[in-house]
Amino acid sequence: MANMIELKKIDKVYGEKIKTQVLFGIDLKFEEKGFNSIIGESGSGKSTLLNIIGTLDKPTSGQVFIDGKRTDTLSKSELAVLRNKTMGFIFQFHYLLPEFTAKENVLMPYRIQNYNITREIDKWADELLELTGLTKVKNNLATDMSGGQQQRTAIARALINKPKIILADEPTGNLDSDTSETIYSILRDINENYKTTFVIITHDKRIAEKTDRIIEIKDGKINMDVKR
Amino acid sequence: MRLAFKIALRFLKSGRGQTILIVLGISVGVAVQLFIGSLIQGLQINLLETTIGSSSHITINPTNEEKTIDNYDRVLYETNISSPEIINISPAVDGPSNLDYEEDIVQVLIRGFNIEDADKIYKINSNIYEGRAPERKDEVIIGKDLALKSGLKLGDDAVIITPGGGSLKLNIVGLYDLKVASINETWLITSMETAQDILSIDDKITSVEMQVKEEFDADIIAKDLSYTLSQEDLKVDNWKDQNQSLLSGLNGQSVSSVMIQVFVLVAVLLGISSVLAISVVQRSRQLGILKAMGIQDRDASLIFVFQGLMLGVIGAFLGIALGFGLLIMFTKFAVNPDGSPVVPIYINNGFIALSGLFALLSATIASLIPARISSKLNPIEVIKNG
Amino acid sequence: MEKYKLEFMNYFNNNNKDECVNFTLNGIINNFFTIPQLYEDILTPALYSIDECPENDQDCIWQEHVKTSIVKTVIECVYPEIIKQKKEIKQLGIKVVLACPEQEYHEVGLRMISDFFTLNGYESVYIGSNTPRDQVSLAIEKETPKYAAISVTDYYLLFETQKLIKEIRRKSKDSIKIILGGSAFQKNMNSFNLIGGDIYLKSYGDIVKLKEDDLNEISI
Repeated sequence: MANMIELKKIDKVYGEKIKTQVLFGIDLKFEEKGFNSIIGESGSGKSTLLNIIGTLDKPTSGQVFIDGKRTDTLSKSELAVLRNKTMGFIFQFHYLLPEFTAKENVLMPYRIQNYNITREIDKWADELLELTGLTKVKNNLATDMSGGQQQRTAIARALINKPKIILADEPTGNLDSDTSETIYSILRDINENYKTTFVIITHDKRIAEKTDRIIEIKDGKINMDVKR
Repeated sequence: MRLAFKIALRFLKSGRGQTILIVLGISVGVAVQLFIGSLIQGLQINLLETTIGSSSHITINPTNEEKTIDNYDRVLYETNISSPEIINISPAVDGPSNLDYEEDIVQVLIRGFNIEDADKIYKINSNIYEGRAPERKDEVIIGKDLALKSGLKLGDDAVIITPGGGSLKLNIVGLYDLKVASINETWLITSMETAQDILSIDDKITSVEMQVKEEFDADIIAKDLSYTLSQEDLKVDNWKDQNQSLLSGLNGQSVSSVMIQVFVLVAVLLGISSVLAISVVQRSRQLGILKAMGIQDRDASLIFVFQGLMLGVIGAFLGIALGFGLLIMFTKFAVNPDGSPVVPIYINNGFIALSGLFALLSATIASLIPARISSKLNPIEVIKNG
Repeated sequence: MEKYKLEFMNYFNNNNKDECVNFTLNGIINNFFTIPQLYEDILTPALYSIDECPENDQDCIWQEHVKTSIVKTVIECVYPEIIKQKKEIKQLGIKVVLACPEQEYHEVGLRMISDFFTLNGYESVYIGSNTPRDQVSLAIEKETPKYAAISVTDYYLLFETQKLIKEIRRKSKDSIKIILGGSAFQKNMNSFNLIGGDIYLKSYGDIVKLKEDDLNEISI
């Protein structure tokens, strides 16, 4: 199967004077349609790794290929387009725009590339809201929703542009176990229905054990990489 | 672009308290700036009006021994064509004389005008409070103060002792009040013919007076005029050269007024800038996620430029309204005993437009710093710091 | 063998616990099959047959539990036979502690291995499923075994296993050998060394070989 994400010898060093290396020569490939998780203690470098995959952060050395495209030669604005079209992000703290309603938040990534909402996209947004069980609250401001609803909104938002990759950093981090379960099954459904590649950082055993591949990052290196 | 506008609008709406505060800040700034500017302008115009409004701005005087202008039709013609700025051209026949009344003899100034022309400068007709303007030969009007001092009344004859030593009776047909005591006390206004007679200078005049549309251009226009005049023994004077201290006073006032306005605007600018800069920090999570989702840096900074622009527009309008309010209040409450405003406010549309434009410009400039911060903001910082 | 397996599966698929037990005991007593044959060729395939739950089958989970319980009962019922056979086997005097890491509830495989060790003259100390790290260490301190056998089914628990092994090695000062087994390794043999395993066991045959090595060691 083709590699959707490929990392080659990724090093990441923070700091100018006092240098702290957080990632050491990471080589990693993620196949298309894979449902992967990354685990590791806090400070292990797993979030940095995810941010590098998401082109939000730049490796100090090494290369990142997204869908076969080398990213370190792209300009900032080209990267923005790549992120917008290819990737969906789900973060632990939701990061919705509190000034906008659930549906407006969901449509935001689409609006970034194309301001006018077509009927198709509007329908797709409604479908996503339905899939994430948010139809009733779709016109609520982000601040008028529960944590689980906000997180599901973030998931629907991550999907609006039908990205090939979804990167999630602790998507169930501060949610109760029932809600986590719901979130997981939504993610899994998406993975199966839309063949989306997932990379999920989690310390939630219930999530990690259900993924098809678990990568443990320890002290900036891949400690273990196991498959179901 | 439109997304940036939409986001900017939403940010402003959701931070309502902050938005209201900053709009108030801009409005007060604009209002104060407008108020001070208008007040000072009004003050200056008022001062200028009383000083030179009813007087000659540019005067052509002869330099020959007789102190007379011979061929004055030509001079009038040349003056007329010299500049379209020149208005209210009025030839005058002036000369000192003595008025002999019961108790005393006082020195007076005979001013022979073509009343119709001179009226445009001195507003003689509207300032005659008894009687009428001189029409026929040997008719004269005298000022209020002279009338009081000499006891002469309407219909009396004023006895004039001519420079040649003879005496002449002039019929007082009117009493005027030109609101300047020295004029009211000394000017005997009559027709040119009568004055020429008294001064025995035949068909000559002694000066040509005129006004200009822009008072402050009087010196330049005067210069042009002196080039235009073909007669050699003429000198062109203007009010600016004769009122240097007034001018420097006005100038100082203008400068300090501009300074105050500039500082008010700078304060407004700093205010907007700091509030917007805080708002970038407050919204950094939103900006971070927008950038992660792929918004372009340019659009991220446009959000704040639009915010600045919108704040500027609203602030400018409100400020102008508030400024007007202040001005109206000032004219209503700061009044003379007779009910007229202490300083008649002068409404200058251009100045108001400029005020608004400056507010808008300040708001936009103020938004550049936050816009830059927003553009430079790295999503990773936000995401990493939770 | 195939004949017996089919017969067993017949009872097994109908959740007929009684017949499953009767059939096995009968088979062992009459030497139709040995205990390792029973475990490897009949029970293991039977267990695997229920391993995969189709997602739309809601009855799958409780069915799986019933069937696991049948297998467990069968194994326990065979134990008296093991006691009998043990007496005829020369004891090696080597202890094996057997445990599943914390959160690992799949213990049937480990239970079978425990019997295999017994049948080969080892002394099995079977702790069982879901054993916390410190408890495994305490058991090892007390029993001082030569081997610690750990079985992992859920691949997610490979990470816990790594920590468990580290803990064991720290406590026992590396004098112990770690035996690993279980389906979690099938796709992840590359992680075997990373986790810190010494020996990988897959079948009864592997234990027989291990015994030979141990005998050689003793004779030297």
